[in-house]
Amino acid sequence: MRMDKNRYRDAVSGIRWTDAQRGKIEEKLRQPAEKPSGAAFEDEDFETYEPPMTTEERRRMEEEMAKQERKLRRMGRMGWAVAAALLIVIGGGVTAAVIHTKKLQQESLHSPESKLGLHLTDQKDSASQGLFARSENGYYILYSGYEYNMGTYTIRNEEGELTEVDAISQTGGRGYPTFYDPETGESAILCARPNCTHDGSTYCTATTKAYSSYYRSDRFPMVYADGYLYTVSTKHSKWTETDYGYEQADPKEDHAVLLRYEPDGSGITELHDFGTGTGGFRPTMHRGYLWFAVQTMSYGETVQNPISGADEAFVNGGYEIWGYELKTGNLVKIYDSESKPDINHVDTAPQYLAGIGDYIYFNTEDGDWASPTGTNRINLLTGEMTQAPDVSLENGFNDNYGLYYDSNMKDYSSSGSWMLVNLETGEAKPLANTQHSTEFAGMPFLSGDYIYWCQFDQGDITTLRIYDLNAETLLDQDVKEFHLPEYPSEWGDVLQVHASLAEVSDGRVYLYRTADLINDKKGIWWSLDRSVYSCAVEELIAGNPEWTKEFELMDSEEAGKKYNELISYAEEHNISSFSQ
Amino acid sequence: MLSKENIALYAFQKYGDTALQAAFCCIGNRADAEDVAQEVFFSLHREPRDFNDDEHLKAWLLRCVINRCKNLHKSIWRRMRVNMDDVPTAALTVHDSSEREVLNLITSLPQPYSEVVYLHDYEGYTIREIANMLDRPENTVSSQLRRGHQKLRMELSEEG
Repeated sequence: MRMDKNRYRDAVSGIRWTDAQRGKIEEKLRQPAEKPSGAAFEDEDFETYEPPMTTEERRRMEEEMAKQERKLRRMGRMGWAVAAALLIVIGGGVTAAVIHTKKLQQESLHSPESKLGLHLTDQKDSASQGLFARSENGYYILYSGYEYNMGTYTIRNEEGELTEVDAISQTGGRGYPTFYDPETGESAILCARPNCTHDGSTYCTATTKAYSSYYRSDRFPMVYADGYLYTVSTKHSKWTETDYGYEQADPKEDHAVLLRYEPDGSGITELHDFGTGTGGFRPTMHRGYLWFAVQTMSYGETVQNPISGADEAFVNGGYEIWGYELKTGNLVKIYDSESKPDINHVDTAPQYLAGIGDYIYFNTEDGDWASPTGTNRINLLTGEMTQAPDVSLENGFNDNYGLYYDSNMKDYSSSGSWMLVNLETGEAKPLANTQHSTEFAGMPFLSGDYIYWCQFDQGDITTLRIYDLNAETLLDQDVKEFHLPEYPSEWGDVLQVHASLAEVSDGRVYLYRTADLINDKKGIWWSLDRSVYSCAVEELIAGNPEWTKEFELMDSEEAGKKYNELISYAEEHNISSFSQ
Repeated sequence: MLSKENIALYAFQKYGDTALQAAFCCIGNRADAEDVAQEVFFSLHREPRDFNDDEHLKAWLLRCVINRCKNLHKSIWRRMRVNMDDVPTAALTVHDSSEREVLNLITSLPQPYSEVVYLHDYEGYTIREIANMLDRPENTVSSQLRRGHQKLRMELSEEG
């Protein structure tokens, strides 16, 4: 086919308003004009357009300018005074404009009308990372320790025969939702059942397998609001207890449920059963609602995969975004990705929602052709969803800005920049000195008025950078120089003490401080201490942090005893290494 | 002097489709184009003004549409791109599939080529007039037009 001007014109001329659209717009234009809305995109786009001047008009204008110039010259110094006065007037105007803008934003936060029928308040979630929840009395955190078990295990030897060996096996620790009281230093697993050993049975409210959110999330799965803990979990109706543990339930029977807990873990209440799909997502508190996603699933015929021989179900699914009004208990669905029944595919639900101003933000990461990746935001007032294609807003927001990584995929290189984006206008600018490089891995995140970026070395932070919202570097420091309190080791052979960033909220930086024993011969590391310290971010930037110990994640004495027990067992049974 | 009692309604009735077509060619997205185009008329309704003549009005409208499109391009917030095959037939007067194909190509043309090609090939403005309207040097407009045409030709030959 050949492209020419006529073909172009023919194609474009087909773009027209429909009669219905034309009628609606004309009707609106016949009504008296509304007052200016103050919406975005209105400031600069209506600059005056004048057609090109004629020669006569240009001559007149040049004459006028020359006259003005002569007049100004005559005014001499007086002209500067006039200019200064003008500057003051203009400056006042700018200040007034800024104040006006702020006022508009505040008014927008109070806007009562929502086409979705929402009753929005000013309530906000203070957590930035979501790694813990905070109540009036202390912190809730998901403590995932490792467990070592001594005993006889059946393994297959090199000849393929089953044989029994003495061994110490390591298993990933269960996620214990645990409450820490900074006043008393005490901690408690979130289970109120008497005589419970927190062994994962359905009896235990903290580790129960009746609900499974704790095993899926690296964030603390609950949010604390108005005296209760809330989470969205998966309800397994068919867990079966066997001699060797709990048998996996049929996932077709899973239901996502919204749960409410008393602050001590008791009184679990199913506020809503969504009848399908899975949960496992931490709700976000915003404007008087808990916002969360629910993964929806529907299963079709089960067929045998001819390659693997395994039975596989035809499954498709999508996700829904819900809001739970804390005051009334009303549930509102604000988005449905609408699963595509003819496709054997599940659009993965977003793990994390963020509420900012009038919007709920979420990322879609691994959509198929029908669900492009990007950041989405739903306007809580209008219900409209807009999308930033191929942009993944990451790691924290404040009321005005977000961050995303602009990978330069066009030339298939790994280079790219972290971009600071104005959430109102969508305008983005690269952060200075944050060009991606292999030695500075990890992701920055934004909390309050600062951007935090950590350099990792084998999983531990070695450097922390802090930027302001003009992308200026305020801090670039090795964490060893943070002068955390010395570890009071009575074990003597602590080999590594390191710190990692846990959370930033309400202007304070929270660090995990970990002290590990490392046994080279047995190939294990063993934590003796995990504590959380905090200091004001301003102090950290100023170079004089005063660290406060918030809470301890483990009992060092107990941890030390267990370590000695394991080492003794390994030596007695000639175990050379701990298996996993 | 063009001075109407309801200048916005007059402008929409006369140049409504023109504004929509310009926005569509610049943005490449029917839904965003509709928003941009109608908002230009609503703004004129809120703040009416006089124009020298129809040509002045049309050029002013196009300038406003293009500026709004540029602002939208600066923003990361967009609606999902709508393929022309998904646009309701009632909203299009397209005669055959090759026209849809051409439309899909037009929507894939990046700024600044899209606006220059539209103003030149559809509206029939000269390079000098486009340069005045977009406040760009004539040489720049000229090379943008050339590259836009090249790109459209390349895409079309690749397609079929």
